[in-house]
Amino acid sequence: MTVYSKLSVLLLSVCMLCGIFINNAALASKTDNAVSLVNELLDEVSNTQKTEISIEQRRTDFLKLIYAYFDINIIAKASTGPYWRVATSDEKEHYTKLISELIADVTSSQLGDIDNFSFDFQSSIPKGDKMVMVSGNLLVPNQSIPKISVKWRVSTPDSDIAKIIDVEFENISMLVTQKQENVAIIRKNAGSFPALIEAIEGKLRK
Amino acid sequence: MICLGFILTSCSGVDKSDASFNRDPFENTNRQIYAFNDSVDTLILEPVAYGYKKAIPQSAKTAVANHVFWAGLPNTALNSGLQGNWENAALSSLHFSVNALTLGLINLVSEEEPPVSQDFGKTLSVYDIPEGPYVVLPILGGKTSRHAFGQVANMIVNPYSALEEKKAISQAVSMQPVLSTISWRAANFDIVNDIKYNSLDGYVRARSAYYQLRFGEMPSYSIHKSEADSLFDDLDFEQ
Repeated sequence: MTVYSKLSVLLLSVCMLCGIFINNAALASKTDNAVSLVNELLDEVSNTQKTEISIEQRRTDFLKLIYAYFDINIIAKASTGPYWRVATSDEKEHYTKLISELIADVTSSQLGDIDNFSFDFQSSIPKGDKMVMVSGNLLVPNQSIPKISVKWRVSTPDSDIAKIIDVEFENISMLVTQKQENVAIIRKNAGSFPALIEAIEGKLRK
Repeated sequence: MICLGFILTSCSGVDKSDASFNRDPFENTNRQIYAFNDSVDTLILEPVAYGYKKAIPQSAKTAVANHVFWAGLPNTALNSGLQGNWENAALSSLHFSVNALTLGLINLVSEEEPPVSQDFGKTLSVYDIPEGPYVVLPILGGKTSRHAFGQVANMIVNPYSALEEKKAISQAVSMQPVLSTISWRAANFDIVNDIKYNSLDGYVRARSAYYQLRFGEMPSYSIHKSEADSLFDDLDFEQ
């Protein structure tokens, strides 16, 4: 083997090692960001729950949190399945706004008076190169179910961006459930996307 | 079960082009039974569970939940054995024997991980029996045919049937279906009410939640993709 070949092999090895190191560092950064995002959100929710405010104000606060911590565009797209492609841009925009309000509505009513909870972090695992799954248990003392398994799917397209795209409680994905409901309503109305918008508007008015 | 399937098939008039047909071919009939169950829940179970939730102290509710769990342990031990999960079979036998001293009301075994509940439906899944169509049964609710068949088998192969009628354990266990239903409804009061009152389509939400929850309880859970995994695998993240 000539000196030139030896140098080439050495250089290639160094490059590969650097590549692995950079890739691992990027993955570690993504998982760290995902965990920080979930913890920050839970802190914010806890603070909101501890403050004595009206239901309407709480709903508004949750809506702000949803826009700040959730990738609402991905959620809107994933929750309508194949019908997203046939919706007009106005319908997409309107639906995205409505689904954010629906999530805020449901979250504020589901959390109700629970103001004392903590998150027992278990693991954060990369799922492909664009998503991280953060898992743990939500501990809610003095409740009939004091420990709830929660998984957060966090979208991490770049190492410095992280947004939540789905939450699973006891393996029940909020996004999968919402998608199945949405698709059922659209199908019941012969593939009409506006029918879904109308159904959500009706639900929000109640 | 085969007769039930036949009756339901003949009653069903669902659009066969619907993608959910594979899982829920009897949707129209299922929806009618779901509406009946919903009314029963509104008229009887919901008010009873609300009273139970509000009036009974948390310690008593925990004792009832412990008892219900304990009463299911012989079935868990039997099915764990049939699944070849000897560790869970041994653990559930131990829990059952020790906690029998208090009829299961107080958990005397301080294990971090209690035995995992198993039923005949899960055992059938281990032997690769297909889950079959989704059926909503009066009072019992929506299940896969395999799960529903498993529940019937659990009742037939009930280890308690070997006990004499007047024995304390036998009497306590006869109360179990009523207690477990009220205890479960009270513990999941807000979740069930959310499905009933806050969903766009309660039937679809209940079915979706059932499938995902059941998937998470299956012995093969860790080696198969969940519906959420599949959804995100197929998703194009570009806007």
